[in-house]
Amino acid sequence: MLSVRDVHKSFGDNHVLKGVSFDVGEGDVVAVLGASGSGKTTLLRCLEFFEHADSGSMEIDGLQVDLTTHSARLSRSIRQKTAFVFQNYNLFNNKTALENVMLGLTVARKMDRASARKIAVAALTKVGLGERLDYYPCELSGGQQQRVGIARALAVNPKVIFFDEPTSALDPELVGEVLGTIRQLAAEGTTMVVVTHEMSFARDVATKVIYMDGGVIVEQGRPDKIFTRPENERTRRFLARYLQDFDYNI
Amino acid sequence: MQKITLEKIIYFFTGSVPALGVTFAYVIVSMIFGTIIGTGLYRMKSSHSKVAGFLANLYVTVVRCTPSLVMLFLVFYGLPLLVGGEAGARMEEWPILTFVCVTFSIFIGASSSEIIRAAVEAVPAGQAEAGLSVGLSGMQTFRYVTLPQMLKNAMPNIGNTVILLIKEGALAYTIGLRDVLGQAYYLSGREMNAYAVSMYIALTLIYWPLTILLEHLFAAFERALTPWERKGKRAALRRTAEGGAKYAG
Ligand SMILES: Nc1ncnc2c1ncn2[C@@H]1O[C@H](COP(=O)(O)OP(=O)(O)OP(=O)(O)O)[C@@H](O)[C@H]1O
Ligand SMILES: [Mg+2]
Repeated sequence: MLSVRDVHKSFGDNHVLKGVSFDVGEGDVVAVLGASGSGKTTLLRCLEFFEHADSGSMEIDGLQVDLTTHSARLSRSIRQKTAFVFQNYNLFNNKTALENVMLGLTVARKMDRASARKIAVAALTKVGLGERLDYYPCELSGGQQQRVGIARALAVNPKVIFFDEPTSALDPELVGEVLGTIRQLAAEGTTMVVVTHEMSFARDVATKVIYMDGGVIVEQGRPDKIFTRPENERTRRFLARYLQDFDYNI
Repeated sequence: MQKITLEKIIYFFTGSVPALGVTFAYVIVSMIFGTIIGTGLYRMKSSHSKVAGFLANLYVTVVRCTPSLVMLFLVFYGLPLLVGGEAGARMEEWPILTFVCVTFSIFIGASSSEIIRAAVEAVPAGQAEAGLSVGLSGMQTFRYVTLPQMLKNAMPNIGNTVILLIKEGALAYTIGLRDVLGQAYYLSGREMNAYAVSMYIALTLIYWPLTILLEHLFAAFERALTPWERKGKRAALRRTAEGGAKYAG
């Protein structure tokens, strides 16, 4: 459904992505793990055309596209098939929760307001914010904002949703509500690529785990395999570091 | 010793107020064209092209370093010469108002490019990316997400510029523009300026309420354009109140 091939990206002489390839099947939940600076955010940003890759391609929903493209029209047509959930939410500050979710429908997809509203209310209700339709972002807690962000991504009915550390800007007590929402989407078969440092989430929810280090994918596979029998020494060390404080039993 | 009479004040007041139309005309026209120039300059400055950036900065520097009176005379006397020939000769027939609008547009172009830059930069980059991520085009993102937040930022500056421009009519009088001030001077001159003080009082009575009115108007615009700001303040207050209650309890 989504395949990414040989993505390279440098900032100046900092070679951040050194040939990243992976596949995502329909209904897959791919957890992308890796130390800080390993290029996880950059990878997602290249796939959303927020950055121009130096080389690489992507196939999504039968459409082949060069990730180096500067064509605004092409990037937009691909973005219409994806959605993005940001680390710091990035809700439209000038719009209410409902308007945040509706904008992609009424303006980008020219849907009439009544149908758009119906979809937006359904999406917000699904993430547990059916009572907060008319609240502005500044009136919502971080967890609520992120759930609006997820509803906004869901509403446009994307082929795949990219999440960049959706919970790492949240107070610890709010992490659960957002992870719970993502879990629920996973159970419904939503295709997602989730960059995260939440190991238990990756282990329990993901159908596939990717471990990145130094701009390459070091290891990828089913979570039970990665978490219990990592083949690569670097993966092993990374997991050991992350799991030592973590109630982890093989 | 001049006498100040109510009768003369009323005379100058009622005689000059109709010329507010001229004032509004150059203010509105100059604001529009100035903003267009300023947008162009901002885009040049933020483009990747070094040449474009240099030219835009050159424009701003040159305009900033030119006294407004000098610029006005340069435009009024210089522009027809610069164009030259028959077209230049025809330009000399243009209404004075045209030259005033050109001059002020040039000035506002320079200042608004900075206002626009500050307003754009105050909107976090993630806002536009979020717009793109839900499938909006760059233009739609600007129209629905960036612009409304920019306006909030730019509104006080826009208000200041308008008020400044209204008062700059005094300058345009030097090439013969009959705006409010020009009209008052004209009426006063017909009476050998015997009632000049009454005239100045009448002018004050026009400018003060107008300026105060505009200040309120722009503040109202800003409020109307940014409903989320008011809600935000309420939310902040509520949070403080709740926080306080928590500590108290
Ligand atoms: N816009 C940019 N300009 C220059 N360098 C950048 C830019 N964005 C990222 N980098 C660099 O690219 C490298 C990878 O950054 P990236 O944000 O992709 O890492 P990450 O894996 O997401 O890390 P984290 O877990 O901290 O979010 C870093 O060295 C970073 O400094
Ligand atoms: Mg990151």
